[in-house]
Amino acid sequence: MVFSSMIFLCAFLPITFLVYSISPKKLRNIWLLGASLFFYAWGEPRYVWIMVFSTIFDYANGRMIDIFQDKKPKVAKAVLILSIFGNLSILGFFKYTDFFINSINSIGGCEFDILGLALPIGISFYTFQTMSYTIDVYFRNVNAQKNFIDFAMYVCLFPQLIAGPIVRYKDIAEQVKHRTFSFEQISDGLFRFLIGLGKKVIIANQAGAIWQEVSNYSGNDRSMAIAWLGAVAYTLQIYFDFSGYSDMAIGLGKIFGFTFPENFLHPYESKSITEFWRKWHVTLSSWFRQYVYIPLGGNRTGKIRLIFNLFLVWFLTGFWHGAGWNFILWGIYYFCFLLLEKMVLQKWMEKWKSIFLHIYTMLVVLIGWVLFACEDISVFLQYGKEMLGIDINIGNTLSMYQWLHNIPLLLIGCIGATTLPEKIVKKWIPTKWQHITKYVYAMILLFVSIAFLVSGSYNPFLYFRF
Amino acid sequence: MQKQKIVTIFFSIGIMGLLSITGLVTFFGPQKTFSENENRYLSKVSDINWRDLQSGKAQSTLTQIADDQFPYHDFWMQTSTEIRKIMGKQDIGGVYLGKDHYYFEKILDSDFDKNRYYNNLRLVAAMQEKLGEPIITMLVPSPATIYKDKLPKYAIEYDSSQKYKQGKEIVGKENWLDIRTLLEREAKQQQVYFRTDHHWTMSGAFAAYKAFMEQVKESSKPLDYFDLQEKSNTFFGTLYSKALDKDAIPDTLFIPENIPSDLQITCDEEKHESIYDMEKLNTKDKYAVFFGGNHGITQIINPNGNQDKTLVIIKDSFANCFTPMLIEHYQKIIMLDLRYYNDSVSNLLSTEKNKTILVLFEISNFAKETNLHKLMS
Repeated sequence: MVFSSMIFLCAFLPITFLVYSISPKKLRNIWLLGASLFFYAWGEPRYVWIMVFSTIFDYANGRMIDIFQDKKPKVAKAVLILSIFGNLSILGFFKYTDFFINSINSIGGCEFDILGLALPIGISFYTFQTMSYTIDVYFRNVNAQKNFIDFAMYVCLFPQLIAGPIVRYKDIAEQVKHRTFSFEQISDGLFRFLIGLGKKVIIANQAGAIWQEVSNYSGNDRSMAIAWLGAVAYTLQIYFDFSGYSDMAIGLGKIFGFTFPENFLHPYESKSITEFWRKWHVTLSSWFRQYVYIPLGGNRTGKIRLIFNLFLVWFLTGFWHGAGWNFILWGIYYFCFLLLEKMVLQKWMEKWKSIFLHIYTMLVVLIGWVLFACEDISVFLQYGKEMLGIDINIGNTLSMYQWLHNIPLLLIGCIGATTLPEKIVKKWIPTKWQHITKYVYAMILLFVSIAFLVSGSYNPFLYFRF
Repeated sequence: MQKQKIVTIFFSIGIMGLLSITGLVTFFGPQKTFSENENRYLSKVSDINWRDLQSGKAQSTLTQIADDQFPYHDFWMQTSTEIRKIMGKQDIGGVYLGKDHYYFEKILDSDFDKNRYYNNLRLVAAMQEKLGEPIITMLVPSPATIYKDKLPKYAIEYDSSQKYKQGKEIVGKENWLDIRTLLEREAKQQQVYFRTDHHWTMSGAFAAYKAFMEQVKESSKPLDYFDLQEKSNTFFGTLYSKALDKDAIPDTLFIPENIPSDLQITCDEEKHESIYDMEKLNTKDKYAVFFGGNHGITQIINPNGNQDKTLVIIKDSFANCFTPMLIEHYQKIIMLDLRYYNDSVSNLLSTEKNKTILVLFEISNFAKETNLHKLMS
């Protein structure tokens, strides 16, 4: 089930909420677990068993590590390795097998059949979550959870199940047992949820429709101006889609009393790539920092090692986003810019005017997204040529038409991606009205979102690759 | 502070309440069965088969019901169109919102399948060769080709002149009937296409009728002769259904009343009393008044018709309002819609003597048609 659907908005959410609010505290976790399993099984009745297995597996691993930690540390370590190995195997099998088969086929000229498995939704997120749990238990960052229902509820919790944020067990260990349930929290959560819904349905879907349409142009319909329109539209789509989903997740979490970590901190306002990655998909970057980069020695082991560590982290980050060469290249692309900034640019950039820093950052990000979107490298190179205006018209009537009629949406998107709206509200609306303004705004968003959802326009689900 | 708390209570209960009520109305309210705008059956609660839960089929039905049965569906659709218009959009659901309340399907060069168009033309040429008889090909221009000036500012459509040129080359210029100039001239005085539907009007079809009669070197009747009668002034066609624009004004539908009597009409082996299905005027798809819509094979025998001449029309729905004017001139007319006709075309044609063959499609439909290979069957 996806959040931006009528079945979720008008059936799943009200029922889950209503039963939760009237059930006694003791039964709330089991209800949430049941609802979450139902939520997941909605689209994939069979794949729910992988998640159930993953849950039982890491619950057991956590308990074993806890038991053996003091008496037999070697056993505890073996269990930890088993856990990591198990999780990575599940992820590797379902997500990467076909990629490896295809790569071997094309490099070695073999003809192995691919498995053609559909990727279980959210598998990249929940395997990372359960893995971080056993690692944290092993390093005593958190106590093992003894109650199976509570643990399973954490793994399967529907708001963050499908597209993050990646919530580490450590982050919400307390809340699994003790959390509040109040009107203030519910209304805050709903507000946040509706902001996310609006981001997804009003902006991401419209921008996505532009990108989709423009990508299908061929021959004389293509031009440099159209290539740029497509790239800008996709850049907006991916931010509003992904951050909208995180907003919805955080909002839903809040309704049920959880505080999930923030995931997007206005990344398109950044003045460097380093800053961009501190603000984009924060929970993923910090996961890699915590569980890959730092254990490898981080930046404390010399220059060569640092470069290698960075490379590995960004190779994996790219690969995590999808089983394809373009995702790997996309990761390495960022590795290059991050390294360049760390080693060379940092000193100069301090002197640059901030407008140039913004332009530089957004250009790198924009081209990055084109690479991200083009599964075929040759398609990417062709697209890049078009953006540079090589062998192609700068513009034509069609590009004029498309730009003219899409500028309002693009502008709303560009402004909405920054902190400007927030600043305007704080500055221009009297404090005593801010509260009510917020809720009226949320209701308008709900109204428009429903109109767009009913009209059944383009509403893709981007996370099937993650 | 107290006031703020009251607001949060109202907001929480209000939103959750609204969503719940909507859900209740959706699933337990009266169930609609058919959507005329989308021309399809809707999913409803009685369609759910709870035994399909394991395969996931029941879930997709439920998801579909939540979309299909959503209360005030049309209101929301129109609202979304209005919002898009405010945001500067001039095309909605693949339809341009043109000037003077005209709507046009957005067909760019990228959408026009050049290969299929070419192949279909080759198939017509091949059949011509196989039969050893001429086949007249008339591809009706897309509305936007004729009404270019009614497109929104900077809006463009595929380049039609190139397509017509190619057609003429492949089919041969003596058999190629290009009615663009004719329709352009006619469009200055009459409305040749509907505003809200993708079809042409009787005026458009009449211009084509004249051109066709000229091509076969026969004299045509004047428009007055057919005694056009207004049958509906509340016709909202397919383009309206896609854009659902509040500003649309309905089209007027005319039908020729003066056509020969005592006709024997069979549509897919079913006898019809009239070439008109007046019942259709009470439905959304009023254009289906002509022959009641499309049939694989439609046969009209006019015992008082001219000598023993036969006309075979291989066609799409554009022929439906064109054909009535020709009944006068032939003893037998056979319309073949290859989308629904699955018998051998060669056998059928070989039994007909003294025949004229016409291929009549709207050009962008022709470029989409995947059934022309049946010509060779």
